[in-house]
Amino acid sequence: MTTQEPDRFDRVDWDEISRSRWFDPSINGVGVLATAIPLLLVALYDWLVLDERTPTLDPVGLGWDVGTVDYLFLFTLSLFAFYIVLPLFQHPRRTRYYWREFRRNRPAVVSLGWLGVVFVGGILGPFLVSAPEQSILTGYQPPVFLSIDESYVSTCVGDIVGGRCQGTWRHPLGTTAGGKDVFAGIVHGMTISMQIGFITTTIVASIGIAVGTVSAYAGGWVDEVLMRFVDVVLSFPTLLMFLLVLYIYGAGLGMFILVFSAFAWGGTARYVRSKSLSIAEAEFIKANRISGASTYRVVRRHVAPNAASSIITQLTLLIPGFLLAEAQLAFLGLGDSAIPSWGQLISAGRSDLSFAPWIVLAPGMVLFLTILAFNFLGDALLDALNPEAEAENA
Amino acid sequence: MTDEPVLSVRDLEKHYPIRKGIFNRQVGVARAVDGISFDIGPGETLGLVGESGCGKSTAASSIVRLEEPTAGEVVFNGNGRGGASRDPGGSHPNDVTRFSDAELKEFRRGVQMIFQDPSSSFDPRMTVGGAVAEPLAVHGMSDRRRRRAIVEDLLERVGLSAEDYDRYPHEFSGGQKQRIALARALVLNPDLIIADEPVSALDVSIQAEILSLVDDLQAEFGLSLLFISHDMSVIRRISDRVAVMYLGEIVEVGPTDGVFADPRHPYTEALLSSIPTPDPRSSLGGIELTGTVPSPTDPPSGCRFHTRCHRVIQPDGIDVDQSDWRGILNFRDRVADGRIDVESVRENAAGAAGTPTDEDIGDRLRAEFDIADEINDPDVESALQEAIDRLLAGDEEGAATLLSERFTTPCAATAPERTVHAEGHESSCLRHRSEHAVAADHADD
Amino acid sequence: MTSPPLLEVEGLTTTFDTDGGTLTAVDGVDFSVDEGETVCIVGESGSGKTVATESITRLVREPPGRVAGTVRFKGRDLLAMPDDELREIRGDEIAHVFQNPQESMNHCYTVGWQIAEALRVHRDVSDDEARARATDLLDRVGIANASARFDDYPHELSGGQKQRAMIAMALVGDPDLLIADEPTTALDVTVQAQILKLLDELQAEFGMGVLFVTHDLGVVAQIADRIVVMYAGKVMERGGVLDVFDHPAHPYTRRLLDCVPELGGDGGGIPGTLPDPRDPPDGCRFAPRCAHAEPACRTDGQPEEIDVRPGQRVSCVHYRDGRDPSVLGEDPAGAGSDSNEVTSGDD
Repeated sequence: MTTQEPDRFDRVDWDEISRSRWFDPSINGVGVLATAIPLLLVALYDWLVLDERTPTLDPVGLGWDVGTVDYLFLFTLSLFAFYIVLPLFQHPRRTRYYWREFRRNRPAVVSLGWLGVVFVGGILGPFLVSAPEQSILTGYQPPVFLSIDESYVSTCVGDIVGGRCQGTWRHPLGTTAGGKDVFAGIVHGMTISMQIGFITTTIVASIGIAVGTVSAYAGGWVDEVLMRFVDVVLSFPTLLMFLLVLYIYGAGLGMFILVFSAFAWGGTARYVRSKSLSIAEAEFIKANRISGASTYRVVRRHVAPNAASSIITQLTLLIPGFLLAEAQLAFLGLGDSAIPSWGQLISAGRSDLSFAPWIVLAPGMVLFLTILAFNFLGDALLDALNPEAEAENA
Repeated sequence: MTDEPVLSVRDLEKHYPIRKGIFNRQVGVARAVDGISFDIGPGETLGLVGESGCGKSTAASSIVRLEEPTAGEVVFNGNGRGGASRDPGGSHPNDVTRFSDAELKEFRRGVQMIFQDPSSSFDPRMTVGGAVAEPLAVHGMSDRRRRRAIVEDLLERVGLSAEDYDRYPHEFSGGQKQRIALARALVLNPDLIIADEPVSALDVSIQAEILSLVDDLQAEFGLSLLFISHDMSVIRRISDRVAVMYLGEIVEVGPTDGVFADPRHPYTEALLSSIPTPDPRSSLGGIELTGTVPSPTDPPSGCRFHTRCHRVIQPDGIDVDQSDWRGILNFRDRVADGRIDVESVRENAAGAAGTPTDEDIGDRLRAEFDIADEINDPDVESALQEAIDRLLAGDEEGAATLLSERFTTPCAATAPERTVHAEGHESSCLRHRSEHAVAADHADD
Repeated sequence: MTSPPLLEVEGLTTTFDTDGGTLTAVDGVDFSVDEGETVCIVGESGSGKTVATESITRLVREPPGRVAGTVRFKGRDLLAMPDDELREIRGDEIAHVFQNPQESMNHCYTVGWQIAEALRVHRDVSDDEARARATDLLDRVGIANASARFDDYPHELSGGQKQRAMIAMALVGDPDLLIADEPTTALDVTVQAQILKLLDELQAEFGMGVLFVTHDLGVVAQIADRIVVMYAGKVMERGGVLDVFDHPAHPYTRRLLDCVPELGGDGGGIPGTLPDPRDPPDGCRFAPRCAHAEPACRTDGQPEEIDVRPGQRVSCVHYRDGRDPSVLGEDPAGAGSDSNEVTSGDD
């Protein structure tokens, strides 16, 4: 300390401090606001000023038309960046500790790597790889190093050797019947998968944590009403609801995400509630209340984060469910065929399985690996983030 | 003491409603804390001692309003609020139970707590520095660097180092965590710290260190301390005065030396004799308390301790051996509750030798309740024997009626008042009422 | 002593494989328990005393744990014994009572049923006999109205009653050795006094050897015949309870006794913390916290045990031949007898 008079707890003039109260926002909150507000302005501009056919970024010379799902995705990305990634840098000690714990689980580390690829591919891919386009002439091109009987393809991009069309690097994973590049389809599918993953998780987590903590903290009839509502949500036939919505309004990706996450938070809310009740019993909560902290502050700073860290696993395991649901619906032909999701790609190739299996297998493998990776990740996070286990090791 | 006490508790009560059924009807109350009063002077340590379930922790949380007390008054004269006098209406301006939200928040700076379990006293996701600094932030100190400087200084004062600021709770041992808890309690510079079993979870060697740290800090900053523990030897080491609590009431209060040297309440006496003396030559035992603490939902009438008291008073006209008297009363209560299973006693006796006679079973019953085979008072003996006979004949109700008519104790009828024994040494026991002085002396033999 | 002791532990070493390396919880510990005798293992938490007692009947989970050494019980080596034979002995000839009665009972079954079940495991008895015997045991450990309490679930009993029931369960096989691991630490003093008295009576009645683990010197003084002082996995000192209380030899024992003001100690505690069991100090385990440590204390492993008095042995370099143990300060014998006067005043 270079100051001549180091501050001491018994020399604080509390009367002075109590009088000078001002709002003290955290850097994380500022960051989220700083991205959310421009995003909201652009969205409003898009909605109110531009006509429907003009791409949002037309005024700056880009052709990207930002849709509702994209806005939501960007917003959740900023939440992710400021409330998950940034804190990792703010608390390097804790991060190192979690990493040490996490690293023990080898499959989980590989899974994290794979999900990193999917994440980066999903964000940057669409800017690097152009969207797959219909081209009937180059349908059924085989993947590189593989070949297909000449009779199936109208034009072979590569060489024809011995009556078989050889795969080329122009279409590393081949093409569909309509000539869409499977690789490009997978890359664009990553975006869709990431959108599904991030947006549903955000919706489920925010509703679940809000309802769970309010229920736990308010108690009484509020608790009763909320928990009965959770029962309703949990017993609601989501698929039927989705089909209904689909026949009335048509089913875009946004609708899928909305309907499915709107009925998926029940379990999370219940879990958060029971977790919050047990956290509320902990002595550090009493210590905080005795320091004069308001209920809001206690819930916001202690109960919610501690409950949240324990639902991360649950959320991680929720994402594969959504991805699978999307793929299944697409396979049954109930999805929006205009979106380049993995499920759509798989469903496009289902009739050609006998002679062009890559159309199904390539996105199928990617989907399988991604779901597996989320499961491994969930397991490892459970071990790494569990504070009770920490205490035993200490 | 001429000084005004820092904390003055009067007739504090905390009752929990007990609800049952689908309509949540209130069917009773658990009297966890039932009218306790005490004062803590500036720089003084009051030890509050009692078995688990006696309401000492509930008393603490009611005093600091972690829970709302049901009734009573808690006057806090710290935080520069001293010198206030009562309103004409009788209410005190410093009564914590009537504080507004703003006053309550200010009160929080004056009173802090330390808890028992070092493993759950800290948010596992927060650095200990952050945890200690949080009260500062709560009370509006927004300058991060200033908070950090204060906390680093404080961590050093409690025997840790400034570098520990960025470490997490799981990196510390139990004793270190209690040091940090002490730092967190001190950071707002309170006048009073309430320590709820702060060393119970620690090893003796660590206990001693924490206690001497508490002592040093108390002397340096002139803190008052309410120290709650079930461990008499810890209380003895740290307290200036002791209050002994039993089933929601304070049965004895006095200077530590006085209470330990000359306990005036039988419960205090029993507690003291239960401490294992660290002397291999002393024998095991002393006064053994029979039974367990009764439920606070339905506390015993009169003196609450009379159901377990080894000095329970004999009524006029009865003069038997004190341990027999205790046994007879225990027997009476068990018969009244219908909790004596004659059949099983008979079975057990049968296991020993052939078919047991009624006499064998009677002896067995007496042995179970530590009653002599033959009581020296013939009236008592005949009444007891008749009760046992009725019981064996299957007339439980008759036995119960006979016993409860014949054997009563003044302790169950009259709630004892406070008796002053010496300066500041008071206890609530009927034996100290003048008319029982003789009986008391007799029991002392 | 001519007859071999009931339990003889030699070179007991228990290690755990952890991510941070091998953790040695108990490191070459020897002790013995005779019939009808109470031996107390004393030490701070983390000193390895609990692991040592659990290693005796191989209750330590293996892996990650590993138990080595010899444990001779009535002449048979428990560590070399096949699992099924050991299971016969466990809970029958050797019984355990643990610290936390709440966690030691199965909350799905009635108390009596659990005791009867323990009986059925080891004895070929009918249900009725098992019930009668279990009721009898509950009665014996001082649970009032035993036949009614037989059908109570554990949550219906108080902490003290649960611990009594646990002791009843331990007595099922009429054990020769009772291993009690801090059985009274979780209880109120008044209840603790009852339980200690009960154990004392039962020991007299059944003639069991008792191995009692505790950190409470008050309890030790009340019940022990002999003491083994453990620190960081090693034995620091051992001896008869009177010898060790009157003439503690090892600096650690002395500091431990100093923590108890009733013994005339300063109550100052022991500065510092236990060493990391993954990387223990080279020399005497206590050297880093010892005020009298010198270079010889910091090398060559834990010092050998040296006889200071018949039956009392200490592992400290200051007692080697040609060394003067008085550098450790005076033999606090005087303090010991002083304290007798002080404490007897309390009674």
